[in-house]
Amino acid sequence: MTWFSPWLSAHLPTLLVWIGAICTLGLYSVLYRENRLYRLFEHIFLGLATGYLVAQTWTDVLLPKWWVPMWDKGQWVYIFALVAGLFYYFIYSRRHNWLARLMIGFFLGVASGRTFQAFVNDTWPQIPTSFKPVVPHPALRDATGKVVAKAVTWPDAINNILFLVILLCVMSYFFFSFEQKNAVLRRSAQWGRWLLMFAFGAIFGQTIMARLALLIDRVDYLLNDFGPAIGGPVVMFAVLMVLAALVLFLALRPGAREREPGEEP
Amino acid sequence: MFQPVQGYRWYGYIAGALLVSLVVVLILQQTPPRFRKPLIRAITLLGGLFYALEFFLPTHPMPTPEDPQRVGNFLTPYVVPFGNTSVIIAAWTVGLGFINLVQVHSRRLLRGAEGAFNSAVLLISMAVMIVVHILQKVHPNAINKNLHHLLFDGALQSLDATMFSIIAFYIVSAAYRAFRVRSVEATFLLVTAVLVMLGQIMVAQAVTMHLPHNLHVEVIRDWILTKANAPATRAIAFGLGIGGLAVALRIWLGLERGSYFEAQE
Amino acid sequence: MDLLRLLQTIDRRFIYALLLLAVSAPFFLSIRIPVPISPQTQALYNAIEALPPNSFVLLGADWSAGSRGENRPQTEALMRHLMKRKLRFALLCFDPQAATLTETMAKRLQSEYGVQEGVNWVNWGYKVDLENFLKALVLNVPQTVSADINGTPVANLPVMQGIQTARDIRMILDVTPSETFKAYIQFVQGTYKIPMGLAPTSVMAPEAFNYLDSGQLIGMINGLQGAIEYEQKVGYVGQATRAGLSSSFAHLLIISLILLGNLAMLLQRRQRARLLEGRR
Repeated sequence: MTWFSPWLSAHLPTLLVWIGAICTLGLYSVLYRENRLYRLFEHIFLGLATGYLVAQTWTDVLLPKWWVPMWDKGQWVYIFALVAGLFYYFIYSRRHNWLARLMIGFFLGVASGRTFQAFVNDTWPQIPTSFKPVVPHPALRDATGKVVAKAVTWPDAINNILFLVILLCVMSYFFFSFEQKNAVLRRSAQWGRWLLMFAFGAIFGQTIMARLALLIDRVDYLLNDFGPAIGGPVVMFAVLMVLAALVLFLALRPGAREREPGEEP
Repeated sequence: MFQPVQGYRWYGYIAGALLVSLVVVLILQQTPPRFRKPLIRAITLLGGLFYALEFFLPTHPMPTPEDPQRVGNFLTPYVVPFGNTSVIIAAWTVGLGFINLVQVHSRRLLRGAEGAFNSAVLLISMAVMIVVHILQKVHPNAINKNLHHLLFDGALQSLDATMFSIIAFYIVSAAYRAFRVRSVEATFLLVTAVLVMLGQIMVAQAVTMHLPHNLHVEVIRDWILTKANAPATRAIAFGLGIGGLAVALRIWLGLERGSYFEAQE
Repeated sequence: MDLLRLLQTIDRRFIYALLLLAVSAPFFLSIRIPVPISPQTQALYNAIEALPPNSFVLLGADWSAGSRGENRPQTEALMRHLMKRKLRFALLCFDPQAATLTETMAKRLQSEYGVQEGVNWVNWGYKVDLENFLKALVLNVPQTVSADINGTPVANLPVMQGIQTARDIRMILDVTPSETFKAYIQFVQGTYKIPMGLAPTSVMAPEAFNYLDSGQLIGMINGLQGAIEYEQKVGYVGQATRAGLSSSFAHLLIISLILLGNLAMLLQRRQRARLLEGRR
């Protein structure tokens, strides 16, 4: 093994990018269709990710917060934290399963007790800030000349009215506690559904950006990190295009075209 | 009583604590089924009481050397020890997922069922990751660090990033197929999404740069996000906030029905 | 198959190939287009600029490699800004990968800005049980964190001098692909009124605009676009700026495809309506 460590150190950068590229292309093979290579890399991913989570939980949480205080500093009382944690494992016993529910119930209770503070700090401040000025006015100052309320221009006022209309309409759409018989409420709920589409459209537009960013990152890796290992980004670009052409050839050759939903065979 | 101890006394205390825990478990096991549900409800209520009382009870100045401005009530000094213990207990739950994954894949491996090879790969990669990660923390020599580097930066990072980037291909294909102006709602959604997307394109920003400020694509995008999207998401947040509070209360007070609270065994 | 139907049913792999081309080709273009800075990005930048020297900032990083396309450039931009301004900061991660990812990043950047681990910044490492952890953290930072990622007790580190409770933290920043920022608002920002900035992925950002409006957040780096803006503000060409053109081309492709599909559908509808009219 004496040769392995220096060899690994010397070849680490090359190995890193090759492993990265093989993993990337292995998973991308699913874009052609479901295949064994993809399944293999999917399982490697699951194994590594789970292993990392378990190991990191030990090294970053249990080791400094439980093992070191208990073992090194003599705080024996921490053994009860292990016992409490082990209660969860009764879930594997059919007979004593209910004991696990004791611990689950306790922490469900803890989470419920926390909700009051969460609500007060999270949702509560949004209520007063929803009352927006809808009449234009100049900046309001106190006796010392300090601005206590910013000036509201006509465009601000219109935007604020719009804000309130959207807020109230969408809220009325979510009134499920009673049947919406009132005509005004029905109409406002209808508008609420339409106006909700602004938010969903915005979320969709933003989601596209989020997903593209992930793809761009991988392409950046293949071209600029791995590319130099095989002759430069241009060579890697050519390789990617050849792979894409190959997939297209295989996918679009006569008899291989996927049928659209509802299309006759 | 809970002071740290060293040497043989430590072993004695640990053994005593384990014995006490065992007795408690044995007593709990003997609980008749009809008392189990009320016991779980009582424990849930007790768990919730801690943070709820700590939040609702009046506070008064409680200066400490670390925090001379601290205010709190009689429960406040227990928040830190409770938080520390709860973190340790929560960390142990990682083992539940780990055991489950090992069970599923070892069963498949032992049966030699379809995908047994992939299960073996998953288990091996998980074990290797755990060993290498802990080794590089305990013995951070060159070989351990380099192996960890290969597994984490080479394989895991690439696999994780690639797995999620695949969605980019699917979302583009799905958007092209499903995004059709078939109703008023769909039209609102499409127009908003396209405007938001245009606002995040550098080229479109450069093209509209010479138009009046309010017609810049990024300004339109910002207007949609802040004036049309924000009130709609706020209306949803109000509903979620109040709904969350109601559910928390039901769980805390044991009013929630379902298999968890109803099951006796 | 007629042309209008074909335009609505292009094979998915053809779209994949087009997307790959649209994303990869722009990497060979050397055009740099300055982007306009959005008000949220500007607000966050200004807030960090306004912090007194040596202030202590809590930089939450709750992302894994699965969202590194956006969260990595966001984290790097914020880290560079903090290091440039010589502000002290602590990394706190509620994702196991984030601890290692941010540690590597900070170590790579520190020499460039003349800062040092343990003196100017610290990595508190990976933690679990977000809400209970934060409830305890606000009352006693050293006891709750106990040790940094290297196993050193945080109370002994120069960077942690004077940091006992949440009151000693001047700003909270959270880089996240999920809702972890809400826990910070619920148990830290809301109670102690500490200014908080957010760097979410684009998909999570629409929800955060509500918190910007209410003043619970002071500023935001909105996904990749926000990261491009922040890189421009800090003054370097990073991962986000490099990705800018690819993002533009890919967006244009998607918009074109959506418009093409709709146009073909509308024309086909009209064609069918005419045919029906003709039969009558």
